[in-house]
Amino acid sequence: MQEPRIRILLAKPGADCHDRGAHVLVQAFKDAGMEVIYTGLYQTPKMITETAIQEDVDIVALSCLSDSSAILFTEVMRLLKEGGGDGICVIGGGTIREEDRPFLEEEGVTGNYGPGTPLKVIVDHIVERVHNERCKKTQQGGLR
Amino acid sequence: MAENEITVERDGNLITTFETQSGIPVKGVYTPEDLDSVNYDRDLGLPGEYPYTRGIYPDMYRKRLWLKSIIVCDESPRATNQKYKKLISRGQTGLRIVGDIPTSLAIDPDHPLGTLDVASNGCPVFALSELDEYLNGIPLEDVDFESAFGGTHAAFNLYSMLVAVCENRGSDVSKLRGSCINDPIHSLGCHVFNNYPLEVGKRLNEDLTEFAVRYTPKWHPFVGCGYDTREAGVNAIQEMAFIIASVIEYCDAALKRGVDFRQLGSKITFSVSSEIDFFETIAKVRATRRIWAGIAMERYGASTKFCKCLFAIRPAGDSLTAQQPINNISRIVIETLAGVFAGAQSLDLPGFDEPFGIPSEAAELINLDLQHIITYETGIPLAVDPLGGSYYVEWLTNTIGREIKKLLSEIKEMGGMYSALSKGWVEEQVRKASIDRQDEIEKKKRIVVGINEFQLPKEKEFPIPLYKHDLREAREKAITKLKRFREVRDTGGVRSALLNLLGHASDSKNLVRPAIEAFKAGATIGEVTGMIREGMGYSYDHFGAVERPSFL
Repeated sequence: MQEPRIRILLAKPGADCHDRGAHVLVQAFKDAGMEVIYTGLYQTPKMITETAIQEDVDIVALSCLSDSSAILFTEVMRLLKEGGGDGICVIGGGTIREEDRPFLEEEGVTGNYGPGTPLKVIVDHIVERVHNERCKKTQQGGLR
Repeated sequence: MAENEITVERDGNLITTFETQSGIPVKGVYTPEDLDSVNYDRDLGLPGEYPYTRGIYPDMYRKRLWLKSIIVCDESPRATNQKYKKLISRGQTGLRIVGDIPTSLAIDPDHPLGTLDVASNGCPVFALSELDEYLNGIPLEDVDFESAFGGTHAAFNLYSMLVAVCENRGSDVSKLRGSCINDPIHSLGCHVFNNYPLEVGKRLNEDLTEFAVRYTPKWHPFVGCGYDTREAGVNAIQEMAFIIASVIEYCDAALKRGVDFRQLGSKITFSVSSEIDFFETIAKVRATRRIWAGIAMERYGASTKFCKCLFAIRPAGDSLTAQQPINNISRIVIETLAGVFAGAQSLDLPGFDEPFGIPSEAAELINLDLQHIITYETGIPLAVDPLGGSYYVEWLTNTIGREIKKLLSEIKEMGGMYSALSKGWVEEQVRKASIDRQDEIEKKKRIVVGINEFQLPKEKEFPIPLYKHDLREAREKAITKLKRFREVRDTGGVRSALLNLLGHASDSKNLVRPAIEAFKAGATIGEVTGMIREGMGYSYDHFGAVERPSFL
């Protein structure tokens, strides 16, 4: 059976204005057949998690090129769990320090791609994560 | 083949593209025939003479070096000041002031949107007290400041605070030198966000210009910033056409306010990217000097003395990679050299660790010393415009100049840059360009070492030192400081100064003086910005997240 289209929320957390990567990703996700919702610039973690839950997305992709990427990503994770969106996958990208990577992974933020990552690597990772999450949910009692 | 043998691919490393980075096809050899149409006196001339293709000073670096700048910032004004002093005493001459992300957006550190970004990408400067600390012990007269505050509100705030610091210390503001971006078109063109209304940006741009030419005649009231737009994806032709067309708008608006072009003509400045295409950077700068000279003369009737434009050049942050980051040193060297060959008036270097954050001490030192090495060791600054007369460079200067002019005519037909921006054309150009550039890399039309060829597994990369600080702690400190600042200030004084600013905003009176007074009285950047917005009929906060404080 063909899996349903992936619904993805691409979000720019915080006050960082570097959105070139985000615009490139919107196109790449569309080209890969996903349904893409892009938040635009300047979103608080709260705004992002509310949108994610409301829009019932499969996955949230966070793009941030400030020094605070790890802090912002962690806050999104915390609010997502708190708001009952813990079934939503989260991936990250932008300026991410090597030392923050293990911690972010542990929190459930995967990918954590730096600038220059081939789009295919990101798309493949999304497909795999969503697929795994869906399988997990099926095992737990049917698709949502 | 035996197990331990490898093949040498002699033809495996050929060039993959025969175009410049902006898509200009390049032949193998250039000869005098390619320069048939060039008339030396008309098109090139001596350095320091119209049309300034070869540079704006007759002796260039023999008598006046470029301003040597690098990003210097730390988590607090005090820490930044310490670093700053160390680097100034080591020969830094372009004093670049770098605010953190909330400062750049003109919001206070406790604003819900910016609060997690406090001390990110720069230093928090939320009020006059902070800038005063930032510049503690640093002379204010006849030194060159550069504002790295990209947004128009932020540029306006910084300029007003800088004048206030001068006045408070009893320095002569007429000797305040430097520049601020103050380029509302670039801020909206590359980061479209409708909550920053163009009307407000235009007003701030014009008020600052009107004030600056009168009271701080050595200050460059606006800079056409192509750098950020280039980083957002556009090519060199678009970058230059956009800034020329934007600066035309700012000059026109200033003239309407009664400013004489002679008050602007020696201070026209363009901030551009030195991308990795070495010759293209040199050519675009030479071509733009010539184009601008023509515009100043024809459009503004300026005498040749006022037909010059200055260049602030910065190696391209977007050419730097997070993969094998040590390679970024090589890229920065090449791009810095292009800036010197192009005849820059100031160079500001990004750290080789820029893909990870603000520069480490190693990156600061490398970047400052690189400029000293070029100055003192290489012999490069001895002759002015040393590449002038090269068949290729002159051909490329002509060719890119023609393309820039073509695009300028297109913008003119749309009614100018403000009109092109309002029609969404600028945004569309930026978006399309960013997708195209990614596509080139994905399809390997352009090779980027470590990105689409010659990759190394992460664990094989050479580790680089990174600037480390505890962001959470820095943020706590800034917020506590802001809280205390608000507690101890004279609320009545702040209130009347801000209400005065509000009145000026709604009465279309120049905003700079009342903003200076508001900062002196103890207003924060968020409050000054909010009152200007309200006075002009907008909500207090661009993000709709903060209300006008109750004491107001």
